[in-house]
Amino acid sequence: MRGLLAFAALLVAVIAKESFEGHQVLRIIPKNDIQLSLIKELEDMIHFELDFWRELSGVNTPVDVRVPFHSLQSVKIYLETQGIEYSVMIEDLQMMLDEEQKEMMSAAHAPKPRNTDSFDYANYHTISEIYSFQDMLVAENPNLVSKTVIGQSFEGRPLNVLKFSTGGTNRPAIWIDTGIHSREWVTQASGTWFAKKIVTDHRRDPSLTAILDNMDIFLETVTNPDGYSYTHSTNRLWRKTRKPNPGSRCVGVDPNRNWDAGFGGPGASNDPCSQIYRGPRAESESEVKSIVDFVKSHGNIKAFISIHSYSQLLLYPYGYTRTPVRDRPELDRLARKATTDLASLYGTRYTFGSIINTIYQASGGSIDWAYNQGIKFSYTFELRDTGRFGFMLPANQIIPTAQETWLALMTIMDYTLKNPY
Amino acid sequence: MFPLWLRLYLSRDKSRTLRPKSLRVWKPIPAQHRSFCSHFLHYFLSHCPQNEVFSEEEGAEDVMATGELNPNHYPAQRAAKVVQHYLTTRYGSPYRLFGLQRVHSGNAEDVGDSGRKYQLEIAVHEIISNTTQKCSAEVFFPHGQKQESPQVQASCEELLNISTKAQEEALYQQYKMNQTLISAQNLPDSHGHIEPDTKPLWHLGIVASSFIMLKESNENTLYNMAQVANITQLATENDQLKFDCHTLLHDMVSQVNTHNYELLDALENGRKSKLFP
Repeated sequence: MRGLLAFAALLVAVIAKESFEGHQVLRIIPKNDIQLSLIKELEDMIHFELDFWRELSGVNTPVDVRVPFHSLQSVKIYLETQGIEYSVMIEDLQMMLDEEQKEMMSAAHAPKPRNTDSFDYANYHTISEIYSFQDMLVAENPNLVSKTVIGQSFEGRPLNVLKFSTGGTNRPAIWIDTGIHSREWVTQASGTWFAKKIVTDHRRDPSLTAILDNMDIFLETVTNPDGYSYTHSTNRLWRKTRKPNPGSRCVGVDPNRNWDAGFGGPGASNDPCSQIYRGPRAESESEVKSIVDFVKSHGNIKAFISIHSYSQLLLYPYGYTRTPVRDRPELDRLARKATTDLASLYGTRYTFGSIINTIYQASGGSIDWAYNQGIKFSYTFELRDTGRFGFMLPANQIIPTAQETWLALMTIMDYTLKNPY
Repeated sequence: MFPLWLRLYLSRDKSRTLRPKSLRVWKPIPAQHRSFCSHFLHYFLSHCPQNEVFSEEEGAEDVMATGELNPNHYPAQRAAKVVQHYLTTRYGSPYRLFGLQRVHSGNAEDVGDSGRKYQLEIAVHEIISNTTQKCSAEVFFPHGQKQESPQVQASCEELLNISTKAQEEALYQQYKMNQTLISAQNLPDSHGHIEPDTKPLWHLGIVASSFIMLKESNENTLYNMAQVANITQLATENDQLKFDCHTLLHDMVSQVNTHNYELLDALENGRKSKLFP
């Protein structure tokens, strides 16, 4: 009895870990219909245990097949005698898999940055890496930085806001959000860089020090964490939230069409499958509602800046209507100055103007809502580039983008400080 | 004289605009074939292209400017982007690519009921040689029931002065003489990275996409190619090179990403290979 059990255990162990040792992946290219049918016949030879990775399609179109070691000789002889061209794509599948495993293990064990000085700002990071960064930054700068969780995403992730403050009670404040559209990776990366920049420049840069002497800065880096996580795990081009829509197979709401500004009007969609789906009602998304609640209860936000990519634009309200905002001349002047300052670093050209004139009509947008709340200095950035790489901006452009954008942000924050209202 | 590599899959016909000889293009899966998509394409993609609808019926404000245009605002910018796509289809190659640098001036006028014509003065950037050219262009957007491609005329100062013939010839030889057929995925990858030896393939994908982007453009779109999901060289029996491309296009206005499949050169039987059993 015991022997039987042992045997069964061994059998299970052997079957459980399938080995591809000596297996090869061949690329076969049928040159004509005769060869096509010969390959089809090969498919039917079950004893070869062939595993087609890319199936028969047509003449001159490759067929990729994994051939177990025991069939290799026979299959190759078959192909050669029939004059069927093939090449060896993978010489030893198990070896390749082992290599891959090793690589994945080493990546997982990559040394985690021990402090924010050794954090790699010139690279894109996962949500957990960014959240760890935030905690480290707070730990390293307890007198300047604190973290507030303003709510939870649909899938239960914390919505983290970093507060930069030198004290006071409910000082006038600046709000900055990045990553509300998850695929705009340069924005979350820039937000991370901004956070570090603030602690680095505080007490070194007079302008920033003056700002922080009188105002607070709130920075939400991963404004759409569910979407961001999805762009890492599944779909790099995901934009919306990840909340399912009842009655539809399509997931998600465009968080920048979900604000209560012109909601329901043209410039958004009613279709859950649309990339600009506004949602069932304004503020239906917790990612949006959390910010709304935070801003309203704070009551003293003086500038509200949402950061997106791409297109190289600096935009002020409105997006939902052609009616110009009352403060248009001032916002326009400030935008001109900010984009000039941005360009001074690397020559990056930005266009500025109202959303609806410059890019398109968009309803339910964050800065339209913020402006209507009385936050005069409401701006949206669209960062690099203008379409060559688009959302997939090379990582080596993260820091230059963040640096130049920071100049524009400083211009806006400085102006906000010097022009209280 | 066209650069060598372009000759491989284009032929000139008598009309003014170029028609690729055998650039067969599949449109993104329309809504009614969604179930087909969810089974078949699911093996390709991590998700199916959602039914992208930009709801015009919401009463979208469609006040299009006429007369002199603000060169920085979207009407002129969208028309100028079309010129970029046009120039890429006409003159583009793995070693010559265009970007819209700037719109200097623009003017739009209605042509009766048939459409709207834009006249533009733009600066075009040739990306690889990093040079800028001034161009005058005219873009006509027909206003029909269904999408019709815009018609473009452009004259630029010295667009073809930079000779890329030698590089194109070398690339052609390299691809032709290769023992294995070249193939690449995700250009660029999630981090915006492209391996140097696959850059020409990325450029090829951009040129191929430009035909579609040109064709699909209208006053309510602004297209860029987001990524070459897959580009695979296929064997041919003649001198031609053949590539199987799967590209992702991004429309800034609807924010939609469309999947496009292009075969650069002759189609065998029109069927796509499944990548997984």
